[in-house]
Amino acid sequence: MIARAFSALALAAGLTVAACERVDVAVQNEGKNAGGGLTAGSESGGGSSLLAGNGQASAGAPSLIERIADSRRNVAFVGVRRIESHYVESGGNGAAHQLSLRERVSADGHGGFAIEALDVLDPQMSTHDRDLLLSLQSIRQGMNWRYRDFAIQDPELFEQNYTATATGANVVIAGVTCLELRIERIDQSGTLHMVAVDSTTGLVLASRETTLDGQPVSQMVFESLQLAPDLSGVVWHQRTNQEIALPITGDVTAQLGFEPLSPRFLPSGYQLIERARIQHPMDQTPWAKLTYSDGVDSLFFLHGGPLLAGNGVSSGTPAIQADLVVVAEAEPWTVAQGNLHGQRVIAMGKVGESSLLDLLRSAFP
Amino acid sequence: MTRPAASPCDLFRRGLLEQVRPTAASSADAAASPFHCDACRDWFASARRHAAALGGLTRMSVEFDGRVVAELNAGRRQDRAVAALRWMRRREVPLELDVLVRQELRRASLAADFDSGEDAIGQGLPEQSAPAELDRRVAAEFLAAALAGGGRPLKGLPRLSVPAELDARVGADLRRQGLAQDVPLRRWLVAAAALLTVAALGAMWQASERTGRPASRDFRVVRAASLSDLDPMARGLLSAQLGGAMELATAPRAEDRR
Repeated sequence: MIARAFSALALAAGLTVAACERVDVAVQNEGKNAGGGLTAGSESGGGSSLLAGNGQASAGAPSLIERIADSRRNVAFVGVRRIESHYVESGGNGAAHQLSLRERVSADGHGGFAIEALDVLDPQMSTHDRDLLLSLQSIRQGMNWRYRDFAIQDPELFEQNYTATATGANVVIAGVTCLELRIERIDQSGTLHMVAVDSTTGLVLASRETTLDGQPVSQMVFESLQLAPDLSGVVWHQRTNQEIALPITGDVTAQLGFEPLSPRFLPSGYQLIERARIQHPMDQTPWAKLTYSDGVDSLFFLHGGPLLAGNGVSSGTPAIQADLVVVAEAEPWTVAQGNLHGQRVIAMGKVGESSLLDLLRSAFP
Repeated sequence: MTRPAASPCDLFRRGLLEQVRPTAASSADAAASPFHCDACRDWFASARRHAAALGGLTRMSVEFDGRVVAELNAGRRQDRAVAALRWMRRREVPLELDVLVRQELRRASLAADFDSGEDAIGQGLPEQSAPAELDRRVAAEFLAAALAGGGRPLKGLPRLSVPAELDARVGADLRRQGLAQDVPLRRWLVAAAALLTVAALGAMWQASERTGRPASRDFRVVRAASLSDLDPMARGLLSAQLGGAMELATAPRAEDRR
């Protein structure tokens, strides 16, 4: 399935690590690559210029990494793309699950976006199940945009934690010649990303994420792309989850009704990038949602405040007892949830169980 | 590029909404009519799909109706009101009020002294006991200290000075009852604390023996049998990270719903 889905791409051919060269994130370093390995196999023949504001290596021009980070907000486009998601459920039967679908994504270049699921490609299912899944995808489009799709969330954190290496291969995606990058954490943890980037706009037109031992996590490839399109018919995404952004520092007790816990231990490279107030989908109680990032991946700590009658974190039957943490894995994700020291807490991230448990422990005095 | 408030597409689609039915006949009628543009044609197909998905959902009639009734009955409303009150934030006392109360107490204290030891302060005021929440917290503190093998060093807590008003009230009360010199209050307190500590330690030792887990404030870790066992909050967020693939594994299949 994986081979079939990506057989149309030249991404696999681009895994010629021998020709790799580190992409310098900072603009001032880009000149060092002139005439270097980036030009090897490049159809444009201008490897160094790809990294410096579309051939203009002027000081202050955004680097390729910055263009990638900004592209989803600054570039208007409409495209149809194919998405694949995979995970392996640890525990239980350890089954592997995958979903492949086609969707249309639109962006207005000012932060507005829409993701409309068009069809389920795999697995086969009844018409009713297919319609239901597509409807659920439309509800989830905000989450997909923010968390599912590959994105550089913070260029500075990215530079601190990741290397981006040009493989030397250029691939054509939806008629656009793209630069292929291998993106991985410097400490060799986490997952590996192979991305194809339109160096002019910074749009990522194909991506493939795998675990370090080669298991597929997600794949995306544009099948068509229009830049500066007519957007008059697009139904833009509107928030549906009542999430309210909170200031990243300072006292937010008044907004939440309780003082949110704040973990003192974080996995290597992660920093707090967002705080928000969300509502529990069942009892409507307020929760604090703390989002951490290493530049690409997200890690979440959710705090539901003190335990009151019957509002504890649940885990099937029986309900979680006090001071008991339930851990679940959907590789590469790990989730830990529990009612600890009278507080409702949930943590999840693409990190190991021990890191997540240490994070939970550190949230309490 | 700005978003149009009401584009021709929007106006056209409003007219189409009436024809969005999860039935084949109305869909065929709408499909036969001319569309404003390709985007509107796609929108209608999508809207029809949503309608079909929603129309095909199995009604959880008995269980759901029961829950609605239970949520709306009078007793439940009271529970909700109590829960809402518990969530309310405690307001800080304005400084001016604090000052006024202190002044009032001081005046009353002086009046009591002037009236030859009459307890004017407490007159007309109901006897206050410690709130249940304080009792609960104190008990939890003792238990936690016992669990941690000493736990929080209570003796290290800073000793707070007694407010002059409290001193005056206690003194007046004791004078009135004539017990100022005879009550071995400290001795009673020491005995009570010792008894409580011994009882708490014994209870914790027994609990530890029964469960076989170490007496610490750490937590136990167990594995979820399935991702569907996760709390709805965790399940929703994880499902978003997995791009919807989780629904395939956790949602009941069509044949199961029938």
